[in-house]
Amino acid sequence: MERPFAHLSVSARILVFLCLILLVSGVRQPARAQTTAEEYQVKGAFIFHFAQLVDWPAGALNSGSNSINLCIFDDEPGRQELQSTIEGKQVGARAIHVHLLSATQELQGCNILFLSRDESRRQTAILRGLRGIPVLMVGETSNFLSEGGMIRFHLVEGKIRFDINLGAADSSHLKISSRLLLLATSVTYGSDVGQGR
Amino acid sequence: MLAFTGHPTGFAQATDLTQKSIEDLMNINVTSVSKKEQKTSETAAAVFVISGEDIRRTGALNIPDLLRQVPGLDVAQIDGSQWAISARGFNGQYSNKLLVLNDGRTVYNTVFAGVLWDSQNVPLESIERIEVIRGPGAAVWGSNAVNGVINIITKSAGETQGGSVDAGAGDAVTGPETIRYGGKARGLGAYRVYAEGFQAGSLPTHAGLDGQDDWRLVHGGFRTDKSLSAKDSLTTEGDVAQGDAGALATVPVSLQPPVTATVALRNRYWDWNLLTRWKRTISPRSETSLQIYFDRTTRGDTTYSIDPNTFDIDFQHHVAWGSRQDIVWGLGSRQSADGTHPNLRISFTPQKRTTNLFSIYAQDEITILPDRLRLSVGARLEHNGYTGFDLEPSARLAWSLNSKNMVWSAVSGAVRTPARSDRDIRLNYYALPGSIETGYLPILVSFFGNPSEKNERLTAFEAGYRNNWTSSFSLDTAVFYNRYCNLESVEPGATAVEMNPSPPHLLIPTFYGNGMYGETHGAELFANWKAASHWTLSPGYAFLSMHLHTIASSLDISSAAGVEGGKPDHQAQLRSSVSLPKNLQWNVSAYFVNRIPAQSVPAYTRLDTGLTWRAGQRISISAVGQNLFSDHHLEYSGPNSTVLPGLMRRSAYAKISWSF
Repeated sequence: MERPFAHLSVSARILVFLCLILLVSGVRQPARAQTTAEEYQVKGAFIFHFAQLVDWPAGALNSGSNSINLCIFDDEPGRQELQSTIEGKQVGARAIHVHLLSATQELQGCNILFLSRDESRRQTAILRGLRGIPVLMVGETSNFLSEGGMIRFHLVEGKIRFDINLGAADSSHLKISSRLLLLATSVTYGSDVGQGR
Repeated sequence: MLAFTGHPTGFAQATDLTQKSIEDLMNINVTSVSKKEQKTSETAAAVFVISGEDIRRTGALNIPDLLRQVPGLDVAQIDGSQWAISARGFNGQYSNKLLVLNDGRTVYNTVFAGVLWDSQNVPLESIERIEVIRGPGAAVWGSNAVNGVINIITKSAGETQGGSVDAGAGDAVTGPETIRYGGKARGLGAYRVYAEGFQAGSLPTHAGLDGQDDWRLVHGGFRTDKSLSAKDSLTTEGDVAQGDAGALATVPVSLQPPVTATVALRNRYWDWNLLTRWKRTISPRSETSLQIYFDRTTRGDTTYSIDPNTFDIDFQHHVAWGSRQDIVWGLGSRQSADGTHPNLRISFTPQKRTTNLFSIYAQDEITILPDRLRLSVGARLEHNGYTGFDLEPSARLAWSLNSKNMVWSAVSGAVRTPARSDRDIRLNYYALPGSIETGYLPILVSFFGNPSEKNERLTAFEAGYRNNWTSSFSLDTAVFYNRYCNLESVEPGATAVEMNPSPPHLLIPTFYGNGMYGETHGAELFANWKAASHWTLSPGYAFLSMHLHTIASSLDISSAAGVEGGKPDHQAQLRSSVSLPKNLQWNVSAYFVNRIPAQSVPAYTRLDTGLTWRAGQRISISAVGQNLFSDHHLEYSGPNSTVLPGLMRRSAYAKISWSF
């Protein structure tokens, strides 16, 4: 009653199927570009949109220069991909300028700060230091929002999603557009609500 | 690891991503050499991912409670420390068709064939995500990934920097008390260390007795992640655990006089493991990984004693070939050795055994039509010490109809290989006094492994449909038809007089056989609906039907009905997650599980709820209530369980986390 070939025949059938598929696929031409891209390039493009959909309070952006400064730590993974995607891109009348940081004391002048998941050690101190200051803080560690960050990236099924901490943005007087809020996976009031006022 | 979609450099360099809308960006598959694993859900398989955020929000105390939210998974707590967890049928205390891996280390017990859930105690806040695949995954993960695979993946040490202290207490548990600290050290890279302890109280049995199944566990461990160069990274992790859990079990306690009694057992175990993984990124299109681990368990009570250990080495190469093929191949070798001590109830012949498993596997994901049609074909060739060579093939097709609709289908083969208990065990089940019919010889009913036990085989046909109607609603469905052969049966043997162990007695033996076959089919549905910006509703439903038969030569009259009826045919769930102002998060989960006819387990609805309050940046407080609908209910009463089942009580606990 044992059926030793039942299993093999299935694998044989799979092989035949595979060969057919390969034959068919060999004559097809690519239809359009693969929608796959390097994670930090896409994150850079997201940050570009964030810059468009966030309003800084009057005087927060340098009136002397025509740039929005995006600060990233020098040694972070993905820094180059992010920088090459976003450097020089125009947001209204201003161009995004990527400013590389090598130590925490250089944070003045940042309008946007991106902290990668490798920065969880520095993160707590940085986020605390920037509380109430109009710097859009974008990060990706799991506790980024609870520590006072504003927008946190996460991956869902290989696609980038983000969460927003509205309380942290409020207490830094950054206005996040409703369009961004609608696209966020979750919106929390964050832990700054009670403390900031 | 299941799916390797897209190509690391497949995207045209000239495209300016900032020209795309946010909605388009949200539809891009991201590739990142270090994060490939996160793309599992794009694959042509029934995948469900529990994220770290879900874990934090639900306030669950252990991994089995977290797994209840996976539609199609059958999770039943047996007593204070034991669970029966399976996908697509065949559930039991030792569910032998579900493979579980913890950071790449298989935790499937090679003696009892199954996962000992009381040993799977990763501190929950260290878990990055849990990926659950229903259906076979043997072509990638190897034998015993027959009905499902669960991958528990912990956060890298870089993501858990700083310290945290957690303390909890409730009417049924004390703890877990967890201390964790992460930092960076010269020469070591990022590291974290943790220690955790908890104690769970005993549950009542059906007869109203105290189950004496209280459970204590202390464990600790570490993980380091170090970048050796721009291309190389090294992860090392290890854990040590000591546990102690009670149970009531009906066992033969003596042959002279022959006595079978329900006794309180004390199961004690020591586990430790050490794993290291070296990853090298040769180029953005090519990456290798070499992983070595050692795992040892010593466990026993007065009825058994085992100490299996496993040494495993695995090499994997992932490479993009041309613009359309994404290949993963690898080889592995595993040595499982164990020692056992004979006992009146459970003994193994031979007492010690070492087996070797060799495997070689390859999977190629071919983009047939870019953005539209992907075919993934793969196979794993294994050689194990019991049954020799096995081929486990798989073909999966994923077809994106448009950006919102995707269908997939798959055909795969998988095997469940014999474990020590299938081949070598002797389990003295029942001892009773003789009568005039036996010539006053005492009677011993015993259960024997079968030295020629074969592989159980599955051929699975699956299909699924995923839909993202809008950004606030998504649907994931899967259907399957499984054909099994050589399923394990229990065959009666010839009654004989046995002299040893003394006194002389009448032996009524039964043996494992491979006399059962059958078909199962079912469907699993899951939806995620963002009803409002602060409110998410997640309904789920699973249906399962099993038809098992015995071959003509089999004399097994009970297994087919027992396995067929040993599952709920319908399971449904509804989960709600609400973000409230003042940093409050409120979760409610209701689970309906239909009756398990063969076990006389009535249908039940389980309601769990949790409220979490982030009180500032460093403190989080949560309160959880479980089983709120009824005073107590039974979840499992399977024939293969060695312990008396307990009743799940209504319970509550509170937990505070402080990070620094």
